[in-house]
Amino acid sequence: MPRPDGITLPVQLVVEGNDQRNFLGKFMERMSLTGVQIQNFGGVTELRAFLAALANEPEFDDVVERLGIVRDAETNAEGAFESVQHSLRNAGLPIPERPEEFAKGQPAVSVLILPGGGRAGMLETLVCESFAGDPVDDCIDEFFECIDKGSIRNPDKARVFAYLTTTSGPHHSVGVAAQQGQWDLDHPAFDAVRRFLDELASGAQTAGTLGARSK
Amino acid sequence: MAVTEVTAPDAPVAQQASGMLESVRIRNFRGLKDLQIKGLGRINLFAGRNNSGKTALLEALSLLAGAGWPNLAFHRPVARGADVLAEVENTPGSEVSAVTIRESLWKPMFHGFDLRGRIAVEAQHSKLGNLSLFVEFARKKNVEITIGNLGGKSVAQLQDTLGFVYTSGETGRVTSQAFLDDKSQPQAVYTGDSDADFNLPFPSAHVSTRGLGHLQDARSLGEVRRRKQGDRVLGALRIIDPRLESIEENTSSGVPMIWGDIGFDELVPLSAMGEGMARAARLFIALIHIKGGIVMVDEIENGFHHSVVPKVWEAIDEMSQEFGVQVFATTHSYECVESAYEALGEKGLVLHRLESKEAGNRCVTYTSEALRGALRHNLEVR
Repeated sequence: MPRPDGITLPVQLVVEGNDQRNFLGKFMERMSLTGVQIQNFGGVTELRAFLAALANEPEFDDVVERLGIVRDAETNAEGAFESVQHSLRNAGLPIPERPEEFAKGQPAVSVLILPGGGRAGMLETLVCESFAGDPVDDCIDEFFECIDKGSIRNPDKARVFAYLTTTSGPHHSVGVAAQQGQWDLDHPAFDAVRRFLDELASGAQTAGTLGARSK
Repeated sequence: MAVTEVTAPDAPVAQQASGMLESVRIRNFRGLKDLQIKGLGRINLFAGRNNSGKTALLEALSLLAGAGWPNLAFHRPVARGADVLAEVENTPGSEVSAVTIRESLWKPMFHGFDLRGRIAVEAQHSKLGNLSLFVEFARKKNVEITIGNLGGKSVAQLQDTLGFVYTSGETGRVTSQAFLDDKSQPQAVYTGDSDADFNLPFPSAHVSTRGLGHLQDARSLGEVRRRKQGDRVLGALRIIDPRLESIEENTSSGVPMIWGDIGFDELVPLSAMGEGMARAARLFIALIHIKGGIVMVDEIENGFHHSVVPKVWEAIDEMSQEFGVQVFATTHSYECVESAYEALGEKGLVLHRLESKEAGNRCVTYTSEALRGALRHNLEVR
C-alpha cells in the first residue's frame, strides 16, 4: 500500500466513496476551485473511525482550516445528518447545527447531505434531476414500466445506470462518468453542491489563496 | 544492541511486580519540557518525528525504574553521553573531570541545558500507586553527608552533584547522590536514611541499538535458561533464522558470550549472526528475564526484514502476556505500526504519537477506533 499523503491542504473535503470523490473532484475542476484535498472515508459505517483518525493526523491542528463532509441521505436526511454530528462529536470536532451551515471553530465544519434540502436520496438523485426531460429519460420510464418497476431496489441508481448505457463509452460509475464529462454540471439540480463547495473552498484564510478559485 | 538493566550486579534487587504503568508525566528532561501520557497499555508503540522526544521518553522511564539508583548518572541509557568516559580513559594524558561529567553527561539531561531546573518523572502504577523521581544538580563543597551503606558519617569534598529523590508507597523516600570525589572518581551513594538494600519497584530493561556487553547478554540468557525458558527464546529466534538449532552462553572465547548453532561445523557468536538476530535475541531474552517489569525498545523495527516483523510482534505479544511485561517501543515506520496492529489487534496495541512544538510537548494517544480508522484508510499516524 502506498504511504499516506498526510494533510497537505487547509481545506479538507471528506466524501463517501469513490463515486463522490470522482464526481466532486470533477465538479470543483469545473468551478475552477483549487486547494481542496479530497479524502474518501469509505462508507457511512466508516465515518466515525475515519474522522477520529483524521483529527489525530500530525498536521491537522496546524494546517486544516475548513472541513466539509458529504454523504448520502439514503432514506432519512435528518438521521444521516445526526449520524455525522455524532461522528464529529466523537472526534472532538466542531458540530454544525444544520446541514450546509458552517460550525465555527478550528476547523470550521460543514456537512452536505445529498441530495440536499433535507430530502431523502443520494448523489444519483441529483444526477437524475439533471437529465430529467431528456428524451432518453422518457425511454427509461418506458423501460421501467416494461420490467417490474417494483423490483427495482434503488430507482435513482437504476435510472442513472440505464442512462449511462445510452452514452458513448459508457461507464457504470456515476463518478467516472463525471470525469468523462457525461453530466451537465452547470444544471440547477446541482446548485446545493455548487454552493457548498464554493463556501468550503472560499473561506480558507491561508496566504497564497489556497482554497480559492484559480484565475 | 545493549540491554541495559537496572538489575545489574551492583544495583538494588528488583522485585517482580504485577500491574503496569497507567500514566506518566515527564518534566524538564532533555527535549521534554512537560509531557503527559495517559492511557498506557500493555504494549505501547510511540511514533513521532525526529526530536519529538521518543528516545528521551524511554530514558526517562529507565530513570524512574531505577528508583533513584545513582549509578544511572554515569551510564547509558539515562546518561546518553556516557561513551565519553571510555573515550577519555582510552586517551593518553586525559582524565575524567567534573567538567567532563557536568558538560557531557549531566547538563544534556536537563531541558534547555539549564542545570537550575529540576527533572521530574512521575507515574501512576496500577498496583504500586504514585511513583516519582526527581533529579537536581547542585554544586556543593565541604558538605558532611551520612553515607548509609558505609555505616557512618563522612566528610567529603564534593564538587558537582546530581541528587536523586525517589518516592513511592512501597519504598517511602529514597535519596541518593552521584558525584566525582576528590580523586575524580565517580561515586554513587545512597544518602540520608536510604538503604541500598531496598527493592526496586519493578525490573526493567532498555533494549537499545548500541552494542555493549557480551557479559550482560550471557548473564541474561543464563538467567532465562535457569528458569527453563531457553526454548522459548530459541523458538522465537527461529522467526529470524529458521536454521537456528540452539543457543547457549559459554566462555570458550575467554569471555562469557552467547553462541548459536545455525548448522555450521562450529557455533557462531550472536554478534556474528546479523543485527536482526542479535537484536531479536536481546529483545526476547529481556521479555522473559524482566518478568513483571517494563522493557523499552528504541526503533523496534531496525534490523528486521519486513516479512518477519508481524511474527516478531506476535512473539512480543505472547511473551508480554505470559511474563507480565509492559512494553514501550518507538518507531519511525508506518509498516511497523501496521504489522503491530495486524498482530496485536486494536485491543492489544496502544499507539501514541509524540509532538514537540513551540507550544510544548504533546502526546496524542489513539483510541482503538481511531487507530483502526487510520490504518484502514491509510491516514498518517507518525
